[in-house]
Amino acid sequence: MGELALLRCVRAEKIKIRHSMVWLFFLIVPVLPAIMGTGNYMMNREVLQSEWYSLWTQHTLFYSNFFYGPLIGIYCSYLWRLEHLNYNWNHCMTAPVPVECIFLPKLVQVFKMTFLTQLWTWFLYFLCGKYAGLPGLPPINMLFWLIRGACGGMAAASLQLVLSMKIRSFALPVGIGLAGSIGGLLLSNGGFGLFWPYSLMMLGMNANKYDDVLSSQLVQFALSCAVFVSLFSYMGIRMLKRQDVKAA
Amino acid sequence: MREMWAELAKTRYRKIWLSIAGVMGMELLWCFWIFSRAEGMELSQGFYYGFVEFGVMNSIFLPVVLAVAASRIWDTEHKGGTWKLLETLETKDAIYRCKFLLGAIYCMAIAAAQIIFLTALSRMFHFGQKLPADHMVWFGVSVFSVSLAVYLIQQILSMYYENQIIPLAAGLLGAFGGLFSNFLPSQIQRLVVWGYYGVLRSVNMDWDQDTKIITLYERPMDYGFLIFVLLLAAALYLGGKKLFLRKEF
Repeated sequence: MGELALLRCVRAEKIKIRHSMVWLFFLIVPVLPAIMGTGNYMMNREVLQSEWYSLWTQHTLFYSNFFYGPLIGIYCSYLWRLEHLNYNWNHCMTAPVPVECIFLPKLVQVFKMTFLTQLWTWFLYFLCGKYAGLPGLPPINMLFWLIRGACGGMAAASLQLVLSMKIRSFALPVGIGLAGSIGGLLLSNGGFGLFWPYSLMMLGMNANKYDDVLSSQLVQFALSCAVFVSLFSYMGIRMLKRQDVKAA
Repeated sequence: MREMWAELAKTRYRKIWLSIAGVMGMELLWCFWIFSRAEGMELSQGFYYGFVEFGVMNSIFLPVVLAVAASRIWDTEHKGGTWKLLETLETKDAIYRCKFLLGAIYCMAIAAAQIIFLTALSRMFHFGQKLPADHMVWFGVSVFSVSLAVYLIQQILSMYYENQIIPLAAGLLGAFGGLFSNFLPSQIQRLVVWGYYGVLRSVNMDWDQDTKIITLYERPMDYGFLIFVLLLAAALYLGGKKLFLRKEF
């Protein structure tokens, strides 16, 4: 019965964001770093000589370092927007489903969006590579980096979902996402990336790197992702169970 | 004055300062990290290096921060549906003016914070360069002016659209556009408002790919373009005000 309720709630979440402009935003935003990265690559070919790997460093540099955090922050804020309006929290919390089925379907939506954005990024990367005249197909390990980056992005996404649930402002969680992303870059460069949720996507995607930085730390990376997603999901569900939503 | 106190009271507990201070703090940490790895050549022109680094960071972060600030300032009434109620207490002109002034204070605080950061970093890392007062003043004025123009764009969007996703999306796309424009010829760079942080920079950087040496050199301070940015801000203020006065909430 619990699983049925979860599926029904997932379907309900899909209906809530149907015909929403947020999809357009997720299509447009990855295009900009793709254009920037390709332009940068083509202007510096004498320095960037590793073909598909060089193009990858340019594509992932800004997208995973700075813009994914605020982007997913906007999406999470949008997911909770309906509940924050009027007295909808009361309606939401009196729904005949377990409390987990209020939080988890939104998490599923965020994960789905992250994966779709990653696939779109990959498609743009391939198109831009062909435009830049790169031969053949991208190396297959990059597809693995892409999927790994999506897994890393889930950690930041689950934190942003909790922030957007708790903070009844559209913009403030986005600002926190931006600050978190900057912190993620600093911590990642300091060797502490595995301990900060916003760093995991850039580590997973091997952003701005040629060699696989996680080749000897794959297990730690997977553990870090799992711990952060579980921790933030637990926090979100516990808050819903224990605290009054104060719909007003 | 009374209306301004009302706006300040509305910002209590809304933590608008938190997101601005958070990003400024991160910028400071970033610069700290950059300068801790800098070599003699870069430290000998530490202030110039700082202007370049802050210029890049401002292009990336300030559009989003200002979008967040504008959204937080303007969404109070959107969320409560209290525009009509507020209009019975204040004139629309006063509402617009005070919300703009609040944003202008944040822009000034951002510029001042960056000047303080750079001065503090110069003491910490013992820059070999004497404080270039004229460049520092130019830096503060240009950051404030461009931030004001960007804030006014965000203010118009946050005022006009009840759903704040649009102004925030514009802020994020603006940040991308501003960063992108830094790599384009200056004629095209001047078409992107969010890229004006780079246009008004008084220092430029050259990197020799053979010798790997960074050279920092002065650029003429573009007073004409600064005046254009200020006029643009004035036009955005007046245009936004006209829109606000005519809008029926």
